[in-house]
Amino acid sequence: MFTRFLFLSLLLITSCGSSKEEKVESAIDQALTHLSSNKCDDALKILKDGKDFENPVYLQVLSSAYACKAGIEVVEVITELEDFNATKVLNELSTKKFAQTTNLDSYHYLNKSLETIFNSTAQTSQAAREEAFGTRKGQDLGMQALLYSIVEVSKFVNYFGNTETGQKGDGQGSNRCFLDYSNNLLLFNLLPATNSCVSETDGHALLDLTKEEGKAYACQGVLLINNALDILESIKFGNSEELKSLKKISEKISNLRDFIITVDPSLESLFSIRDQEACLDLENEKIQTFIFSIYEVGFE
Amino acid sequence: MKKLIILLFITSFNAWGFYEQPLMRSPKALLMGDAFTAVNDDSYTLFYNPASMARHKKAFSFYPIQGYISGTNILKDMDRFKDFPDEPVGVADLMMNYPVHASYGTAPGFKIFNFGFNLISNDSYDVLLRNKAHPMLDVDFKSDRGFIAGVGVPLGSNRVKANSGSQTSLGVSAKYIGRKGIRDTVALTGPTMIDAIDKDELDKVLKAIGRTEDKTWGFDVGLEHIYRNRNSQFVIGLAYLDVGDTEFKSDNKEIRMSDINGQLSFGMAFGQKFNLFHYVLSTDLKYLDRDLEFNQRIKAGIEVGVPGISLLAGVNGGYYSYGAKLDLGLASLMAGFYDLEIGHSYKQTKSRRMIVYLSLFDFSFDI
Repeated sequence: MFTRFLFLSLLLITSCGSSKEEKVESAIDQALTHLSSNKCDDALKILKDGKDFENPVYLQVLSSAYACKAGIEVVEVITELEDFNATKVLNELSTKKFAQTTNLDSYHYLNKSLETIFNSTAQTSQAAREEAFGTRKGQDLGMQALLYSIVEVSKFVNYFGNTETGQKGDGQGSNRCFLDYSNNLLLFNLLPATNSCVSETDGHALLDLTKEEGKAYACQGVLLINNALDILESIKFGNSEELKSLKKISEKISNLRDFIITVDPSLESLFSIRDQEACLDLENEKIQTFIFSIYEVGFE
Repeated sequence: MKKLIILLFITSFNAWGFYEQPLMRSPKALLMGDAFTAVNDDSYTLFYNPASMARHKKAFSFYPIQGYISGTNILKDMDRFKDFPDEPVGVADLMMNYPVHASYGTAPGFKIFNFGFNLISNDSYDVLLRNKAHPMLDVDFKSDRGFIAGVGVPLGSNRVKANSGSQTSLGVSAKYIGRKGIRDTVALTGPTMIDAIDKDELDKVLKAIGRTEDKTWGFDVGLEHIYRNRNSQFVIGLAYLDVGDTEFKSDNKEIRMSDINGQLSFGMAFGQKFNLFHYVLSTDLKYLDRDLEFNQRIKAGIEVGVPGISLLAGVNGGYYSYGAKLDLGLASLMAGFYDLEIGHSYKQTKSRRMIVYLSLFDFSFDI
């Protein structure tokens, strides 16, 4: 009688399967373990088996798995930023180890990291993330995106600004400007004489705004700045010494934005573009103005 | 029985695991690989199988003062911490995937005939830093206060005696637990942790990380069959603890606590007692209600001893445990080392731990 009872009990109870929530929890747990030893592909594989784009921790781990593929370790990034003096923000950022981008692989992977966070809500904004995931997780996602954005801006400047030592145009490539300004000499002539970009036709070949790919890259440059500024407005840095530099960099970029808007208030609307689709709908001249104001002027 | 064994294997191949979250563990069980469902002979009976209360032949057993303290086994990792780095990168590397655990608790109680009662006071703190790309901290803090009461009733007409006979029994227990705590995965560089790290006192750190609280009831049910013949005893047990999960709800939707997941365990134990020597062999198949690897389910333990001293050892999901127990009449002391899996898959993340347990003035007598 006892054996029969035992058998039936086990049969009934062991027929239970794991729920979606349990599968996701397990995927997150195992991915975190893989990411502790830089097994990025294993982490990505396991996360694809237990997807939940409404779970903020899943989004954080998936985003960091792409960052792992990009070779990013956040503690290293923060340590490297500790001695940041921020007189010329973009010039200094472009020399950091994490900025080195000989090919675009790491840039693309980090862009996927950012897309994971930015595309997590219907409307791309820090407020929308906090609304969807709560303040606690929304702020964690925001800080993660801000850190990756700073690294990606550094990569953008390093690669498209063609630099090795922190001076625009001194790298292995041939360009000395981000964009070609032959269509808009009026804008080009606003550049100060001290800027390394001296010829209006000296833009990076991949940033050709007349081509789909070039416009897409330029828009990524726009979104990096705008999303970072959006996050900055609501993120809580506390009194952390470690994150002081991050705050300083973000504030410098914010000041640059405010200065640009003061000079030309019509540009204010450009700073509210935070998703790729909206950016791709913009006229090329507007994108050109944005890249010029922030990157061309900011990176000497 | 053949069908049963085949069934257990079939249901074991879908792999997902869990972070083990039982309410309380017997220190003796932990040193025996947690293969304790059918052994269940100490003051923690109700935490393993209430049906075992039916074999409590002493009229009264009392465990007034007892407690344990457990922590990460740093003795095994002295080399790791020899040259503690100054730089954050070095500290992060050192602590990466290194589980930190601390817990202490007590469960004083009594057994009167086939009824048992224990008070519960248990605090545990677990922290695990993972993910080099973006360090994230798993935190699981909990502080439990409550009680458990249960009864074991023999079924049928057979009754086990001190040295002969057999009986099948059914047991049920109920527990009331107030839990304060938090279980979360937070980014080390996120505002929550930045705020917490800024604090200079542990209590303020814990407050900054956040915690919530709830009180709830949980229920257990078990079956046991025991057979005795002279100096030998054989026990089969089946326990379903925290039937339907013991869940804690939170007023704050952003902070949650660990629930106690339902746990179906099947155990067998065989032991013999001689004048100057005794031994017990035990095995458990745990979490039969879950999809996980067979290796994670299986536990085995052994106790060998002479009057006054016992040596304990076990294998728990592929990890070893060992320790010793000293009985000195009104005091008993136990200490040892045990390793646990805290990840979801087999041999994913090992937590190395040590434990010390002391019980004073416990006694049993027949009326």
